[in-house]
Amino acid sequence: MAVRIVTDSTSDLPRDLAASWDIGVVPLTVNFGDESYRDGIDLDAASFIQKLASSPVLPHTAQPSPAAFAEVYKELLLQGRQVCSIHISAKLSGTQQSALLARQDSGQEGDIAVVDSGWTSMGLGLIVLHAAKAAREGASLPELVRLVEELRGKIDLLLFCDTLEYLQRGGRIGRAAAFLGGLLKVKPIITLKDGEVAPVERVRTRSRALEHVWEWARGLPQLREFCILYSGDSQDAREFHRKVREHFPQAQDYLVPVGPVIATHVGPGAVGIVVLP
Amino acid sequence: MTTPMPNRSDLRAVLAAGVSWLETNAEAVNALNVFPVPDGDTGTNMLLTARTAIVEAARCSESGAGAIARAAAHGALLGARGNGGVILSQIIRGFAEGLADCAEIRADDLVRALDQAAKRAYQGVAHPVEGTILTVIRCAAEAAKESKATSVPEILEHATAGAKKALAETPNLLPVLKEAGVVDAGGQGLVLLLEGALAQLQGHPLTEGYRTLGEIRRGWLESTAAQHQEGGESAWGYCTEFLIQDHNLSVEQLRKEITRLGTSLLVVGDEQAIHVHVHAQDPGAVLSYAASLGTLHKIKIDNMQEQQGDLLHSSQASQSVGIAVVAVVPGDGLTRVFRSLGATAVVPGGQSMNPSAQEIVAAVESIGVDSVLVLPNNPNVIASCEQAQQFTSKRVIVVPSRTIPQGIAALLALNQEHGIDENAAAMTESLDQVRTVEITTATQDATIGGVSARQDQYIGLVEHKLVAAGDSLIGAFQATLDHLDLPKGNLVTLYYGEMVTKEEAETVAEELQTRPDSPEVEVIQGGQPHYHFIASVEM
Repeated sequence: MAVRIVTDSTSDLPRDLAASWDIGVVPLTVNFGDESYRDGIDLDAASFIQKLASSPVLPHTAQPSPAAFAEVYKELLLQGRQVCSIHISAKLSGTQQSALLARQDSGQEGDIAVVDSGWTSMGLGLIVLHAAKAAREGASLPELVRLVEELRGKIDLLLFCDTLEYLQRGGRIGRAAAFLGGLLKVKPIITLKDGEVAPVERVRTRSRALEHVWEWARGLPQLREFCILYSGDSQDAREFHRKVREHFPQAQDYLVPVGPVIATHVGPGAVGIVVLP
Repeated sequence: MTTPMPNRSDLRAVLAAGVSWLETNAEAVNALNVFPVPDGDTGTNMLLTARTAIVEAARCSESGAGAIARAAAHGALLGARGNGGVILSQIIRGFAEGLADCAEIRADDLVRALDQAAKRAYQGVAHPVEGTILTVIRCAAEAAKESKATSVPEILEHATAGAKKALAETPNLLPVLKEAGVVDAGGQGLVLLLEGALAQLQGHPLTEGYRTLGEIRRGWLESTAAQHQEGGESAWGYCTEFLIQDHNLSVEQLRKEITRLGTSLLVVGDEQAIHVHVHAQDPGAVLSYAASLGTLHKIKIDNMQEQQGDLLHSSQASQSVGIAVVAVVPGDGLTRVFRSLGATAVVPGGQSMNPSAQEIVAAVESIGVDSVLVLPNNPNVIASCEQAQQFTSKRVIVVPSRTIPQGIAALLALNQEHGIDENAAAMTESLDQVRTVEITTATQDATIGGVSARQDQYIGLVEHKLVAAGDSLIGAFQATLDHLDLPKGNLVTLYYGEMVTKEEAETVAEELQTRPDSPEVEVIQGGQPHYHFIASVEM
């Protein structure tokens, strides 16, 4: 029987895509004050942005409980399957910790592999899709773990936020903390390095930020797959998507709004790209 | 003045006479400044540079002319300020190289020294332009070479004549000079140095000019060589400078009195005007005494501990420094902006944005890293920054920012995760991403590039180039922005100067936002002198 892939909601995988590959998605939580929402289930990208605009309090995110993982693993183990559980970087979230606890409690540790993707959003999403495909083709659990590790080194990401505010408030600013404290309003361009947020450049205007990410994408020697990410209004992302698709017509393309959890940390108005060269 | 002096004093006295004559006329040289803004006064810059040269020459304990010239060159290189000062320091350097180890200067030594001086001058400039000090030194060297004379005074006479002829020609070589109706300031400064030196050599020191120049006494250099001592006791108190004018002043008397009130004393002048420089704990006492002798002018008092403290504070404040950046910045607000964006140390630009190479070296040395990026933020400062490399074993990379907004753009491009060379490249590339607008008032009537401004009118500059003038600040500002063909919704950042209040700045911002190209305007306190607004326009 094929190994089943499990991931978390920070992967930002479109619902139907995840379903068609039998990928189990465990949701994180977004809390507005004492109101709790399951990421991607009770709240999606668009409704989150609306709520963000109207809420007097800022949202906070929380990892899934071990019980949420336990439930999913139990179901799959009962089917006689093995599980490859691939997640958001451990430096960004305690999600993996919960998964590991659930694995311990399952009593079948040998049948569950919990793997750190080193990424999040569609960086994680693309890795998960590849694993799902390989699993369907009969890859074993160790082979899948190796595949994730291989892809982890190949995936790359570049994203700009409209402001440093959300990154700072969310506490995941990582090495981009070097950008803080400036007396001028800047838009940070960031990536992930070794599983944490790393600074790339600060720019003053949105147009320059868009230019920067486009120039970076355009300069890649080759591109197999890419995904344009955005939060809030999609206009700039659509234009960016069009340009990249035109430049790399052979590449598998995706255009995905980031989910509520990621949006909490990057804020509205972010645009980025995940690439698999 | 006809008694022959031993060689040692000869070259020193000749150099000092040249500097004295330059000092007498420094203001006149400043007035040749074509641009109606007070940055980088050439006369002052060359004078300050030349002064450190002769102080070092005075301290040199060797007797040979070559050794003395080398010491003078060393001083000039360290003290070089502004473009004019830096080129002058290269001229003195070349002069010293040409003399090599000669004990006494003979005719052929002088010819060789002037030739080498001209070579060094051209080498020191990335893009040599004729119609400047370069042409003047070159023609002086050529005149010396072509001269059939055999005595040193005669050769210097021909060189000086060649220099003056070239100076008169400069308006024909540089259109901006012709338009303003002046000769080149740097060239004029050099001519003054040569004239003063020649007069001393001929035994007839110059007496015309701005004020009467007194006789240079033997031993003057020795008695004032204590001035400008490095560090130590001269590093605290108030650096006090002023000019006294009257009819019957006595340099000796003044010096005797003031010496009791402070250190690093320099008293230069004659019965009609004396320039005083002293480091005093009680500047009031110095000024009160001086005011009893004559009228006081050009009074300048600086808290030296503040200046020192600024440099020290910045090096202490930088925690773990990765890539270090030294920036030259005028104004407290702008200093805060630069530090907040990651500048490790800030060198105060001062009243006219012209720190010496030495001040830049001090900042570089104060940071505990091996390589430092430097942001000059003004074309006048680029040369001094490049010169700083010679005085430190650290690697100095100058990112040639010509304006404050360019410096800020460069700083934003800094990425601590990358190596220093990659950063230097990224920062240099970022310089073109902003346009710089400056709004100030004209210090004099001027017509440049077809744009006319009356003294005290508001003027607008783009990349330091005059583009608009008007009777109202907002009018001049709008006209200046009209020149830029701004894309819609672009970002304009206003840094308001020390003479503008926050409310006034915000009013200007509101006005600008009503423009058809509807810019987004951000207002930041800059605190800079002279410029009401420095604005960055993101292109």
